[in-house]
Amino acid sequence: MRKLSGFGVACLAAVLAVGYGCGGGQPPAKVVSIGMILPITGPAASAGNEAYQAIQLAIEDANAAGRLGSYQLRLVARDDVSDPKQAVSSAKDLASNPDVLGIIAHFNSGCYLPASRVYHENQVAAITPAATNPEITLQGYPEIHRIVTTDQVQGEAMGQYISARGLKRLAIIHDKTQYGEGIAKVVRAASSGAGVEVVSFDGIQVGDKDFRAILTAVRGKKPDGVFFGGLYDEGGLLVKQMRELGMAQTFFGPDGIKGKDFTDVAGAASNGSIVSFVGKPIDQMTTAKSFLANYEKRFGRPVENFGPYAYDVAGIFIAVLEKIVQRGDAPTRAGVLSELKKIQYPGVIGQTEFDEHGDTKNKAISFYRVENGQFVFVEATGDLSS
Amino acid sequence: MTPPGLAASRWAVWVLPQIAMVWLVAFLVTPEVQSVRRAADLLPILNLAVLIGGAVWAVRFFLKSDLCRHMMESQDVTPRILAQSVFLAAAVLPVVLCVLEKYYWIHVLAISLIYVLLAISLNIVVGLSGLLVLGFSAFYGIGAYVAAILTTGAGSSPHLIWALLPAAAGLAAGFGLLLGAPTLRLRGDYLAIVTMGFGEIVRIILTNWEGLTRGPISISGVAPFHLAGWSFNRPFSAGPIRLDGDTQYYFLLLLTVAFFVLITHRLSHSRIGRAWVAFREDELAARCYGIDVTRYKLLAFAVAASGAGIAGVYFASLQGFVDPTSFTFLESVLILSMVVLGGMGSLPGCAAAAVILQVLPEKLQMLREYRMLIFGALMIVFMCIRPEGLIPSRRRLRRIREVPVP
Amino acid sequence: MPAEAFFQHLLNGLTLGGMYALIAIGYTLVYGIIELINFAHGEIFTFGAFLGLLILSTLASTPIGSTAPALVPAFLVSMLVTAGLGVTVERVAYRPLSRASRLALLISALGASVFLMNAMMLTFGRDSKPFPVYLAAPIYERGDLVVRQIDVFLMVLTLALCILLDQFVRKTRLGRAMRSVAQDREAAQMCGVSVSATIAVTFALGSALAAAAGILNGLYYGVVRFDMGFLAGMKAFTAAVLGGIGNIRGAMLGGIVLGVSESLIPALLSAPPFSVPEIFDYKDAVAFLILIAVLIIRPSGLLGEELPEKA
Repeated sequence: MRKLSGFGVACLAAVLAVGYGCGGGQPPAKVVSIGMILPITGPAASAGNEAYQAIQLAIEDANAAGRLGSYQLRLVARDDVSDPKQAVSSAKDLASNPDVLGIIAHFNSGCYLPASRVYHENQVAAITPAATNPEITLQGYPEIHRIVTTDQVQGEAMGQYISARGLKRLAIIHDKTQYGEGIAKVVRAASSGAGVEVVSFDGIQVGDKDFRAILTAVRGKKPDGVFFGGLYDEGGLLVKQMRELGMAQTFFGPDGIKGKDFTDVAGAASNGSIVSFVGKPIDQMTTAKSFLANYEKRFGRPVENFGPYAYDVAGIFIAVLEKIVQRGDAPTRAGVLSELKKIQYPGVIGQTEFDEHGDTKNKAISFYRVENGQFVFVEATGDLSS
Repeated sequence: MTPPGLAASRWAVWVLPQIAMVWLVAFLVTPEVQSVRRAADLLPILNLAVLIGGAVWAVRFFLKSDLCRHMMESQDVTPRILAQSVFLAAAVLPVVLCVLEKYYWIHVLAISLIYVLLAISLNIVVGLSGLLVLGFSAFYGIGAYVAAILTTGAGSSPHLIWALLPAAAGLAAGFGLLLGAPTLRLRGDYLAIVTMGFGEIVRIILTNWEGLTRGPISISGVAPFHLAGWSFNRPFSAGPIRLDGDTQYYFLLLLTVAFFVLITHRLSHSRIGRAWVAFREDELAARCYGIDVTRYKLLAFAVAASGAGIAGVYFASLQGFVDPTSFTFLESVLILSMVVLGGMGSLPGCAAAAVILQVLPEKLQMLREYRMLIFGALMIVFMCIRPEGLIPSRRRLRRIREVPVP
Repeated sequence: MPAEAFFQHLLNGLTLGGMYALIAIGYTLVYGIIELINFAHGEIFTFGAFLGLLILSTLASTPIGSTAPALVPAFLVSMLVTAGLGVTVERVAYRPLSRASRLALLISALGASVFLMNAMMLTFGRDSKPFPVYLAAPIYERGDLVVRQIDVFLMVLTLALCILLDQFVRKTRLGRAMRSVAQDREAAQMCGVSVSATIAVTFALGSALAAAAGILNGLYYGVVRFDMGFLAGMKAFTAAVLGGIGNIRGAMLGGIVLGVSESLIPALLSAPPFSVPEIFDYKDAVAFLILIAVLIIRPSGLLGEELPEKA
């Protein structure tokens, strides 16, 4: 018994010592952290990884150039697997970490929406590089921002574009996600309003590969064009199976379609498809040239979709922190948030400025056509200045 | 037994769970390894290794010691006292974490408690009654959506949330009977596949019946629990300690789990529980003894489903939103894993496994893309090393010991 | 509905059903012999597809590269190697648990499934990989109906493999050994059958068929992804149970029935006279409803035997 008591006390002491000794480990005083939650694995991993890499590039360049003076910039990264539950967990993780002063938040609208409440409750600024669902910024939380414009804007532009090309009958398919169904509904409303008849509105399941049944039924309704609200994988399969079923209609898609995966999966079938994207056309912009070159040199593959946006989100946080540090203040969450609201950031994608809801004032939408497996710029709408 | 042995046993029962709780805190607060710049950056890994290695060694040492033998044999050290001690440790745990300001882990633990509730409920059908159910997340989802739909939208009242607990339990139980009734004749694995189908059908309806559930667009703004005007969402300061929303939910969940553990324990040691075990082992013999298998099967379905329904209400309220992707087949399989990994039919085993299976993936976040790979490997290894589960139920242990090894 | 559209849906159903059948056979073989729902089988299917992709890409630079004969080595090698993987999984994850409860086996299978899927994700990448194009030319076209070479190839190959397997199980010595171990393990041992070898062969056969299904899937849809095994596996398992789990001919029948119903029923319901809107959203529910309906009428599946309750 004596042996056991001594043993018990020794156990306790050891556990406490080791646990608290290392558990209380704080990072060295002169480090400033930015959080990041993106889908590094899961269905959107392709796009998520491009964004992640762009952010890493931004952080490394900032540290190398010593932009924050004596402070070292650190990235705390989390994976949300495009799962809302995981997104909320990771959001709580980063938001409750007092060292994290700002968060680059999520790719999927379905993730950003529930997580936004966490950011609001913890009063930490969050900017998304890609989530486009309008509801996110309509909640009235001052911490929530986005650098891309909403699906409301994008969907309406798409609806107008379709109508302007003379199509009379449109079939709409969506992938039953917050994003896909959301933008499909906007396109439905916008194109109907512009005089196009929407002949069908159906949903498919993400992860499914066989859409012949639904496409055969759509074929029977004789549309002039097909719009799909969803991501590149299902989009590629859809357009491919359309061609195999002898359907020659033009395929229209939103920003979730733009990516090498679409042209890879669909092959020659993807030619002629029209894809919209938020913001001004990147490859046409002089401000983007050095970033695109650097990215390709560092990671060995060209930028496909959201890399520039993620890069600018990181850049905005860096610029804000730089301003605070140069003023001689200690960086805090409140400081970051207030600077964020005032910023006019000249970035890779053009000028970014936030309105009272946290949306970007940059409401340009670009249209691309697929030619020989490449996305070629066609035209853009909205304010294209700067 | 000598008086010193008796005193030591009683003392040990109260102290050991507290030591385990301290160990858990140390485990949770160990920081993750970000980038390795100096040798000191590897210290957290060493810390974890020491914690885990030390725990394994300590447990083995303890199991062989005289004290353990005394505790097992003593009539004073009942499961009831042990349970009380464990619940005390569980109640102190979040307070310690609040003092250390590690609120994230309280969130994870609160969610773990929801899964403990789910695992205990599933244990009733799978562990005790031997009915393999693969679509359990359906009942969970029904409870969550009931809470979401009735507390948001036009004409709803947030104060309903308390009333929704029994309402969701009742509705889920009803669905449980709906599933159980036509499947009474089905043999083991056929039942499994039908329940899987049921789970999928419910999920597909939740995803597509937009008029009711808003489909894939999640329902957010689910009401938090209220008590006399105080919303459980708001942080609560008791002196220097700040208890945030998740902590309050944690305590609420702990009370519910305690309640369910009590009910389940009573049930499994009653005539009903014995009937369940009887037809789990041999349905034909049970019928021959006059046990109304039909009635007990339906009862098992109803009780299990109602537990899941209540867990769903808590989940919806804690998260503040519901969407159909939380209730997939994989979710059902995860809950089943908790029951099997914990030791089928064993309450403490299910609870322990539920906590481990929620905490471990979060702790392994530092492995990033290798996380699930290692997790899968660990599952295989664990089952091969210890197929009877973490804490096998006493009945099963007795059975395993009695069967002569060929 | 015009006749051509009907036949198009029927064709879709038959090709889909053929793929389900090949995968379902693997589930039913394993279940028959060790009473395990092999969760990892979907990943075996995916692995076979990726292996086929690898071989075809390597062959693409050789003279016979892009022509149909290149498929022969692709199928053979992939089926062989995947069979090896199946046997390895059995050895590592299931054999140690041969005396444990069935649920312990199930969880181990689940762990194996998670492990394999993530291993493939890390090895082959997260994005969808395009599958090289073979046999895509249309053979017959009339109105809405388009029959391509690949459709015929798929149905012929599936039929051939099913017949081969059926004959193997019924006529050869190894086949008899498999059936005997599935029926009564101890009696088979007493007759001198090596149980462990027989189990290994069972896994090998099931995995080889799954590999063939994987390559066919890649050829048919033109794309493979690391997580494609999950949905396909779940459907195929449903098909196996539909036909009577443990019964090989049942698995084949179940696969066809499921594929055809899944394609035809929503299509029929969406067309006049029913014109149910948004029926395709519920397409997957149709598969499960059919299963439940069949099991309520025939609790052991379409071709399953009414086995007495095991004492």
